[in-house]
This record gives sequence, C-alpha cells and structure tokens, in this order.
Amino acid sequence: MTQYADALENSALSFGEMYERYATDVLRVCYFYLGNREQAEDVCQDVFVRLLTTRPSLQEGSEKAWLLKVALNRCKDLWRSSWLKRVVLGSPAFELVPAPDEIGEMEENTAIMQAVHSLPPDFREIILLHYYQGFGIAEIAKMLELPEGTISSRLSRARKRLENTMKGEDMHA
Amino acid sequence: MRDLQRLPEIAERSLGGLRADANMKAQILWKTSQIEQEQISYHHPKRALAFVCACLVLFAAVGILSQGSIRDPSSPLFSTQAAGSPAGAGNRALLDLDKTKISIGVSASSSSSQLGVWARFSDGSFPLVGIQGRFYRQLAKGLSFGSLKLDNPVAKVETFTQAPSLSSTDQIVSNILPVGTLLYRIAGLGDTLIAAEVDDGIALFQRVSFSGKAIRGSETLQDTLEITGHVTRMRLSGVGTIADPATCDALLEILFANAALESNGTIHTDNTLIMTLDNGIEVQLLYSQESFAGCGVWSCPEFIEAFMASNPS
Repeated sequence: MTQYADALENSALSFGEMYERYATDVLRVCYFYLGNREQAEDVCQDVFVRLLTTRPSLQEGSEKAWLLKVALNRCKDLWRSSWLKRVVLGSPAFELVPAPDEIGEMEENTAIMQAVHSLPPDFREIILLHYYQGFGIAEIAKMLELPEGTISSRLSRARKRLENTMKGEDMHA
Repeated sequence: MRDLQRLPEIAERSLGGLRADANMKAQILWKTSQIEQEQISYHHPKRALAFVCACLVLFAAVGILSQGSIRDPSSPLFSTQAAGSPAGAGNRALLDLDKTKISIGVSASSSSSQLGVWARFSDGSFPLVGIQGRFYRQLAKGLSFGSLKLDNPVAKVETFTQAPSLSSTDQIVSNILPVGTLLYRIAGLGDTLIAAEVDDGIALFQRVSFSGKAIRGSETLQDTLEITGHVTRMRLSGVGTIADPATCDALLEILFANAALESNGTIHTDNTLIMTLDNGIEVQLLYSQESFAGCGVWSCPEFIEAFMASNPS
C-alpha cells in the first residue's frame, strides 16, 4: 500500500486512516441522502477511489469535508438522474438499517429520519452536514461554495419544513 | 426541533448496521488498481509513438552522419536473439577469467526495477541455469556466504552455452556460471531455488519458465514454489503489503489450492508479487489481472480477492 500512502502525501492521514475514520460516515450520509443502500455504497467507493486516483492536496483537518463534498455532489447527480424513475415509480421507502441491538428502539427514530430524508435535496444536505455531521455554517458554505447567508437561510427554511412535516405526522398519527 | 439536536444519536441508532467494512475497502483498492491499469494501457500507445518518433530521428541522424561509411553489402550480417540468447561481450568475458576472479552479480545498471527481484543482462536476456529441464533465473540480489543453509550439491554446470542449446533438457547448462560450478538446493525450500557458490558470495536462481518449458510431469505451482511456512511478507505491486506470516501462509494456501495452469510460457508485465522469506531471500511471481507467472502461467483470481480482503497496508 506504499503507493497509496504516497498518494496522500499532502495529507497528514494515510488512505487507511482516512478510510477507518470517515468511510462509515460518508456511507451513512450517502444512504441518508439517497435512501438506496446499493447506490450509497457505490458513491462511497467512488469517493475513495477518486481520493486515491486524483491525489488531492488536502489541508490537515479538511479531509472529511473533502470526502463529504465529493460524496454529496455525486449523490446530487444520482438524485437528479433518477428523477424520472422516482416520478414514474415513486420513491422507494427509506428503510432504516439499525445495528442488531438497536432494533427495538427503531420506531421512535423513524419519524425524524424519514422527515429529514423527505426534505428537498438542498435542504437535506444542509441538515445532514449541520445536524448530523456537526459542520458549522461557515464550513458548509465553504464546502458547498455558497454564501454563508444562503446556508443560514436554507437551514432555517429546512428546520421550518421539518417542523411542519413532523407536526403533520403527529396530526395524522 | 429538539429531535434535530439528537440527530447524530438517532442516526447512529437508525443506521448503525451500515458500516464501511474491509470488503468495501478491498473493492476500492481493486477499482483503483483497475483504473491505474487502464491509464497505463492508455498511455502506452503514446509512449510507443514517442519512442518510434525518437528512433526515426536518431536513424535519420545516424544515416546522414554515416553516408560516407555505408556497410559493404558483401559483409556478413548477424541476427539478434531473444532472452537466453548469446550473452553480451561483458558476459562472455567470464569465460576468460580465472574462476576466483569472477563476480557473478549482475551489475546494478543491468537489473531492471521493472523486473522486481529478477536479474537480466544488459542486452535484455537473462542469466539462467538449466538442470535437465528445470530452469532457474538469477535473482538480482545475491547473499553473502554463510547466511544460507545449503544442502549437498545437486549438480555441476557441464556446459557454458547460449541459445538454442541453453534450452537443453538433458544437460546442466548456464549462460553465466562457468563449467564446473557446483549447484546447491537451499535447505527447506525444495526445488524453488538453486544456489551457486561464487567468489564473493552466493548467486541465487529462482525456478522459472524458459523457452516454453516450465513444469515437468504432474508438477503443481506448489512444487515449483516450496515456500510455505517461510514467507514473512508479501508485496503485490499497486495494491499493498501483507507483513503477517500467518496471513501470508493462508494466502499461499489459497494460491496453491486454486491456481490453474494456463501455459508453460510467461506474461509480460511490470506487476509483481514479491515474497520475502524468513532467510531474507525475495522471490517473485509476475502478475497480470488474474494470472501469475513464474514457472508457468497460473490463473488464480481467488488469490487477488483474498489478498485485497486481507487489509494490505
């Protein structure tokens, strides 16, 4: 693997370390976004293949942001390209994939997970980056190459939308 | 939206069964190696074109400069020959030297990094020993005398020769070792390697295919590579290194159990599987896609998959 260690010489982390630290997060964000396990795994693999083949110059601490940025761009492409299929066949159900010992507690989590997944893509990615992955407004703005004001505004609208969705669910419950 | 603040925890519970595992990592490394191979294939035509252009320019320049000394058509022509063919003038000089003055190591400049641990002559052929149909190619790195446990001599070089008689199956021949050189097996390694004592150490030779000859009778890959229990490290170029002897043994077991003979020839590639033995010797197989070549070409996709799944570093 020397070759791959060299490939990432501009980063403080080797490929193996990056994979261990971030691959599961990348995979879960992709799945959360796409709701399709197979596609999420493909995207996650593509992101790391791209890391090894393009050898980006990554500043220390920016590795995860780079991986998620590439992953979300790929997710958006896939989401757009499957628009017709979704419209014609309908969106497949977003199924949770709990660890075996968490299955009993799944129900209470389902509502919020489904609500986030059903947000429009632009809102969904911001909620995932901010609330799920813990990135700040400035970091997300840099990652998505958008003004901070746009991110704040989208975040606020996404929260509102989620609130309405959750209330609607409560009312229908 | 209190739930949003708990999203990491909720997601951890809801998606906890989703993990990027070693299998996915192996897939990533596999895809990467495929892309790199494609890139190499893509670039080769360009390299070849550049080489041809350079040759044409050189040829034209030489032609212009030598117009006054064009060869007499009546003078004899000599054909070039392939691997194992007549060695260069430097190699033939071995015959002229006193045996005690001979240094058997191939010069660093003549060993190619592309050939991994195998040596070759500067003319592209390679230093070889043939023992009644079993052929051994010299390793680039010899060892100092005393660092190896040699068995009793198994043969003595009878003929210093060049192709085509080098491929003789009923003689003990070499294109680098002088007549009379004693050849030894290395204790515990069967027919994998042959050692020859030379003045400054031991020249080592690994069993390989030569001139369309590889295994004999019902031999298997394992018969030509008796290294089980001795491998401490495996390095698959472009993929990674396994440095755990137990894993190396398990991988060897997969290789030997699944390898299917494709041919008695070889393959042309820069990719190598280099195996370091517990006595410090490095032996290798060439590999391309799913095939490995040493003594014969063997197909074994199972080994590649298992190697990648073994978390090479």
